[in-house]
Amino acid sequence: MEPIASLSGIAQGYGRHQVITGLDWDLPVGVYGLLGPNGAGKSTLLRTLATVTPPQEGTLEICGRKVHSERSARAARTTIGYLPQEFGYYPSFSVYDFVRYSAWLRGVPHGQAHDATRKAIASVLLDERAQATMKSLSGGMLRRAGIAAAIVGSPRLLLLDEPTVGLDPKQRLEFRELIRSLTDSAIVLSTHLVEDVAAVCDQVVVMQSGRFLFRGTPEALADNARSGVAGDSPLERGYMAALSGQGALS
Amino acid sequence: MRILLMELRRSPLRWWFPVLVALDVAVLFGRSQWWIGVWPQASAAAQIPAFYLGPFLAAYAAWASGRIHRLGFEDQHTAGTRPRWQVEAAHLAAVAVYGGVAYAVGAGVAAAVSYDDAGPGFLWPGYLLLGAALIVLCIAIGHMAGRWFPSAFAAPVICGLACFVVVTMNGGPMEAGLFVLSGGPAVEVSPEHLAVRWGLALTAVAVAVLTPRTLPGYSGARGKVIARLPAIGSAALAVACLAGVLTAGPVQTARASRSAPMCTRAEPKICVWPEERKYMPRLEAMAKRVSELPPAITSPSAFYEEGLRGGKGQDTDFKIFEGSMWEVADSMSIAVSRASTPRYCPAQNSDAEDRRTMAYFELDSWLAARISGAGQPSDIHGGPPGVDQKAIARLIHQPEPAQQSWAKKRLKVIEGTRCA
Repeated sequence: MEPIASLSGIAQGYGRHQVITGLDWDLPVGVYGLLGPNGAGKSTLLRTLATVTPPQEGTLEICGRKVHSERSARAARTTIGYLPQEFGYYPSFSVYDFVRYSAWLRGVPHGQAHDATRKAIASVLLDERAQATMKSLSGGMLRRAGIAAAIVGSPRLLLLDEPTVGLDPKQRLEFRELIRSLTDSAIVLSTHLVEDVAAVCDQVVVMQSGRFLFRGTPEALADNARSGVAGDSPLERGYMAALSGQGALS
Repeated sequence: MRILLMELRRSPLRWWFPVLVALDVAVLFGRSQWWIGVWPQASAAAQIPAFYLGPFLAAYAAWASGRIHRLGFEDQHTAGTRPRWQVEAAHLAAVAVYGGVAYAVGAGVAAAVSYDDAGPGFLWPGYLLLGAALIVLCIAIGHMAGRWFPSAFAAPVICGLACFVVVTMNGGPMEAGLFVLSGGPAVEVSPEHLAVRWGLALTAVAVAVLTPRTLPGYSGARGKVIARLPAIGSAALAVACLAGVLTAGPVQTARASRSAPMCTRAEPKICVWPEERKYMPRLEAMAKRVSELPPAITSPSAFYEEGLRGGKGQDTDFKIFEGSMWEVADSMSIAVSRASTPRYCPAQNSDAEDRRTMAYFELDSWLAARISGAGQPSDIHGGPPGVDQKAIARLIHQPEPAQQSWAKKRLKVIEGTRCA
């Protein structure tokens, strides 16, 4: 399957501090869970995929086109939805305006923007709060508004950094349903919650110190579990085993 | 457009809008009210609130433009396809719309209160555009400051104060001409000078929105230079416009087109610009009082407001300064005095010179009081040295023979002074 995003030999960092090194990754349509401890480089990888920061080394391709210039990055961004871990918003924006503004930023055509905005808000079940101001929303609702802003315009590559933080169990279930419904995109979820990965991801990647320690299906990660490794579920044990250097980089 | 509406809806400035309008109207009426009923003066008065709105909006723009950074909105903007200047332009435009509408409301109020007295015509756009240029310039400076120094407090306060101080010290009509204090009908805002000031304001806007705070990450060395070019070009144009503003001279120039003056029916004729029609009843009364002066006093046949007969001032020209009829009477008294007395020549000795000068001063003061119909107003200080204005005010209420006798004595001193 043709990858929507493709990383080749990507290295990234800030100044002399190297955060990720030598990553190769093809992302065809599917849901990818990005697991790893704090400081593993997950957010940096997402920012690189979102073309917010250019890689120090290596090449990035989005939808078959190499991103090598500002112009090509701008073209790629029309196909990328990105929700940063700490996303910004104007407190007096209504939910509708926030998502509509995101659609404008993304370059969703003017004629489609209203419908795309409505659809995105409906997808996160915020229709009834569409005119509520962002500052009046609870933490979970804010997160959903952020997700709506990321998915507006149906991007081919959707990058969600800790999207389920602040969601209650019901909302997390609904979020999983939403992710499952986006069948035409490559979706990368950065998360600490392995159960989210188990529930919705086709592939899981475990990162540490800017490198991939494991790449495979959730089942393969669960199979990676070994006795003596901490964790409440096979997947958690597999994750912990991967972090301790056991298991294959499939 | 849709994004501008969104910015307008979300801008906290919507809560400040009534304050902006109140500030505008308070400055408009708090400073003076003599401008009411004279279109060019009302226009200049409506422009003066820009002097206060500008620094206020500069402070707000500095606060607002730093919010993208303070609210952690940078990555979402960077990850968007929109060129950053479009985002910045939408922010800046929203501030300008609120400021512009508040300013327009003030201008509308100035027009409404002037309408009855002023007669045909309307506010002069030159003055209103001059104020608008100052507002836009201040907003651009504030926006720029906020982008580079996104602090929520220091940048707005420093920027607002700096704009106020710089405009106060260097923006006056005799300096950079970013505002004027009055607008007599003899002068108008020069279109060329106005264009240069708008050029400065718009290039400042261009610098504010086009200057990249961070250079596009994907650009190479050449791309980074190219990314800076629009800002560098705008900055160069802004410097050129600033040089033009500072060197072009006064923003107000003599009015090119002279309309037919409006003159009193009573003799002598007192003629003013048609825009000053509201003063006609008082000028008619003054003309009548001039005609009633004692026979020993000779009056010119006509008096003209400054500028009606070209740029070169003449003896019988007068100026209506801040609506003061006393100033008119004072100017006319000097013309009447000159027409009634011999041509000046140096006296034989200083004692004679002093006596004659004093006689002139007293005669002029009496004439001014007679023409105005009252003594020197209490809010006008100064006047000819050594003249007791209170005594003059009492004198004009004495019987005519007593006044004629008093005037003849002064005329005798003047006429009796031998030339050196």
